[in-house]
Amino acid sequence: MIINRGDVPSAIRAGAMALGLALCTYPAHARITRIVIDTATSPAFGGQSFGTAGQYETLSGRAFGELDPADPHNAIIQDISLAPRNANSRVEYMATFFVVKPIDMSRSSHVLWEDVPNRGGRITIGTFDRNNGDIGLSAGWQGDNVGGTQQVFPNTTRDFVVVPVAKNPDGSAITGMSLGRIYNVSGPASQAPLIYTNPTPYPAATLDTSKAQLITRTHESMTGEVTGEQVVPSSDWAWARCSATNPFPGTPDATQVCLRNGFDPGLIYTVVFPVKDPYVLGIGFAAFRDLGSFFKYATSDDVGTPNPLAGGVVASIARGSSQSGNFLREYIQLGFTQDEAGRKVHDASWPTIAGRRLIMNVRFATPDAVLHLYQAGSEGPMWWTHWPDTARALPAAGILDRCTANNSCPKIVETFGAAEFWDLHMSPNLVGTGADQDIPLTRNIRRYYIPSTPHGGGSGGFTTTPAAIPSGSGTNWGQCTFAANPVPHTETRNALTVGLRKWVLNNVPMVPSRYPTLIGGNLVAPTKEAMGFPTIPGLPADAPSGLINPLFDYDFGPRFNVMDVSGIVDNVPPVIRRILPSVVPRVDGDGNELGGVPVVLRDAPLGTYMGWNITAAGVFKGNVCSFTGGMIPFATTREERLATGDPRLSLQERYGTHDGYVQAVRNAAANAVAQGFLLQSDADAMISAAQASNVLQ
Amino acid sequence: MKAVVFALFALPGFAAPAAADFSGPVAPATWTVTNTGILTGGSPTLGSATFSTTQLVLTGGNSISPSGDTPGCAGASFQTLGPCQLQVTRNLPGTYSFSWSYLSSDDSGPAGDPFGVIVDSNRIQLSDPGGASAQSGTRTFAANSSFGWFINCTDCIGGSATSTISQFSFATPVPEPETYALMLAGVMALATRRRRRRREQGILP
Repeated sequence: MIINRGDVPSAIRAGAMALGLALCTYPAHARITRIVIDTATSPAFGGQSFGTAGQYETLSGRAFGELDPADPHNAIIQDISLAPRNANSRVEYMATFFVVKPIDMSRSSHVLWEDVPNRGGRITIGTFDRNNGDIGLSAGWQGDNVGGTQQVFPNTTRDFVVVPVAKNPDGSAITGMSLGRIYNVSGPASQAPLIYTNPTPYPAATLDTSKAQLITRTHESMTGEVTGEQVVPSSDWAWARCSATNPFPGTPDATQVCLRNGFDPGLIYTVVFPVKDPYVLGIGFAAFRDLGSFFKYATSDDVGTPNPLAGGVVASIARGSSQSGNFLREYIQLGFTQDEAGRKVHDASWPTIAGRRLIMNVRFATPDAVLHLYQAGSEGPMWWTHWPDTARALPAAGILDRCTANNSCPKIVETFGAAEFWDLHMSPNLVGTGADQDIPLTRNIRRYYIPSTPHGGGSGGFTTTPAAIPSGSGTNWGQCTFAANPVPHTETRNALTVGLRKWVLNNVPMVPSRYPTLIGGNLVAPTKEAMGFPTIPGLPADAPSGLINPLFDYDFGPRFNVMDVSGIVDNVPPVIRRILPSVVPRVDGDGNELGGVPVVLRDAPLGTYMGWNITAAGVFKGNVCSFTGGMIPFATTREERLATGDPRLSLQERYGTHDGYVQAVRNAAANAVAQGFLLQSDADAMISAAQASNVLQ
Repeated sequence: MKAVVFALFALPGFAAPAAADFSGPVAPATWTVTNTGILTGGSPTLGSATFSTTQLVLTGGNSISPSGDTPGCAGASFQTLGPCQLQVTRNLPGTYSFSWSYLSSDDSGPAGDPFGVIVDSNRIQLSDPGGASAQSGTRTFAANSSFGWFINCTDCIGGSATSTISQFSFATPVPEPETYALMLAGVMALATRRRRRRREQGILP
């Protein structure tokens, strides 16, 4: 079902526009002071018309903002008190943005999606949203100026924020320690220490390697045990760019590690080194808040440049996926849901495939971190409502505590899948650090578990031709063992988008939450036995036991604020105190997950769909393959499966014929439609795809 | 001795009464229906229980939120077992077996109105808060003192839930062999003592 502007009562639209006009006279708070539209494309998308909204245009620009460090809305920003100030005693920043809007705003739905760019990647709302007449805003927030957020101008494809560097009160440089990793590389060429996919944001403060420590290991287990650790003598490496033609000691470079004997692909390199001049990265939260507030409420900036959306936004929804979803969880927990004028910024927030916290409001933060070994992100409350942290003996808290106190909580929708349980610490979001009780939600939260899916969902479709074997997520992680998991999120998200728009526009409650619970018996220990996982040929005998990315209880030092994931990290790397318990969804006899929302491919399966995969080679061989799911197809015939000892019924035994499989898809789709988790148009498309597939053909 | 044996089978638990539905020792009139807590919202509707011989239908309470999502039950919050619930209880030890089907009409789903059993005063939730609005199951519980069912409306707004109990059966506890042995030893001791007393009184040779 498509929602268009006709679903918004005219009185609401008129009220919103009147409110918008009234707010143009609102006294100036520290906020967006000026916007610049650098590039306007009108019409955009080749002049195509969308739904009843007609043609769209895009606006790429920059927003200049300022913050009052003393304002309680900003005071939580790490080191904002040490940032340089302007003549008004405000801290300045600049954020890039990208607006996608109907040319004729009177034909808009008046729903604004404020999307969180992922590692700088600009978000353009898709055809589905444009057909609904919605407005898109991609708002820069990540200011570490590296990789995808490198501050390049003119900028046409990425969104980021430019934030100041903190200094000591006497003007001297603030120093600290940072950690980067290098693995699965060989040869004489120098390498940048990495955080996931990007270089560490901070170059070495000194080229003196005696001030740093470079260690090598032959292996790191899933539970953090290290093998073959050795310290590389400081004389055997340099901060330098080098290569076969420019060998050690190379050309001095504070971003590159150069080894006298080159890199050994059988070793994991960890470098801990001094850094200086930390960005005040927490300003990114305020920038996202103030961009959302400006485009929702303002009519113009301080110099009279009109807000291109002025008076045209009835409801705004923040949306982020993966890193960006974790940004939203942190953003809400730290209290950025209310602007400096006391207004609620977003009516709803939709973090998807996100169960952790972002490492951004920490001195020398690394927002690209993803819960690989030694990376923070599972500290403090990882759950929405006020709940005790029993295993870590921390005070009761919840992500919604601050917005509850000032009545600025958005409606929450969260969607995630199996990979988030296996590799991204989703368990405590549902059952706390004790993993022994289902944590209650509130009526303003909807949780939808999309079972048996990889990170972000698979590519969909119905085929017995196995997909390519993926690589683990992250630079140089290495290849996995099993084919990519195709179970998609797209169609489920389409249905939920329709429901969410009704929820925020018309206060029609979304379809109730659907997720595995302890009470329901569908959350169990991450072991083959507890899960009921079958013995499948080709898998290690005890798989998936031991493959979960464990929930480490780290000690980052005395100046680290564990509740708010803020402060200063003194222990680099952190000390591992212990491993906390986790749970995962139970599975059926095929190894596919039970519970959650109905998903057609899970309910008409062609194989076992896992939220995990196994690293096939390299230094992480045998470990979980960095939040990459997998699939093990069913045999076609009974004879084939008996020949390999596969306990799972073959396709022929399950479905008989191609038509039998199409009927199974038809039944699964009808069930999902009936329960509100699939649009009929998507169901029809899936049935057509099944009919055209090669299954049992 | 005949009197002793007769008394043994007259003891509770040895008569082995059983019911394949709501009859005999578990007839509808033997159960206590209670609405606990105080519904504070608008137009409060207390929970209700309707028996037939073969089934019991429980409908939880509900009210209209005074404003927004303000709970309609004093001291309650969504999805947390709170003070407001319909409960149907029986103070009778035994084994209770039944099938249940549950349907939530709460606009936030089954999390709002948990259904479960009360075994010896302990609440055990059976409905899955993350599951579908319609759920069902078959369970057996042994109670030492009392048994019952509940529907807790948590914050008691958004709609109620209904559970239907069917395929109900009840059996009194069957003592373990050790219990039989202990009781038999006691009876034999009583008999020996009586025999000795009667011998002392010259009644027996």
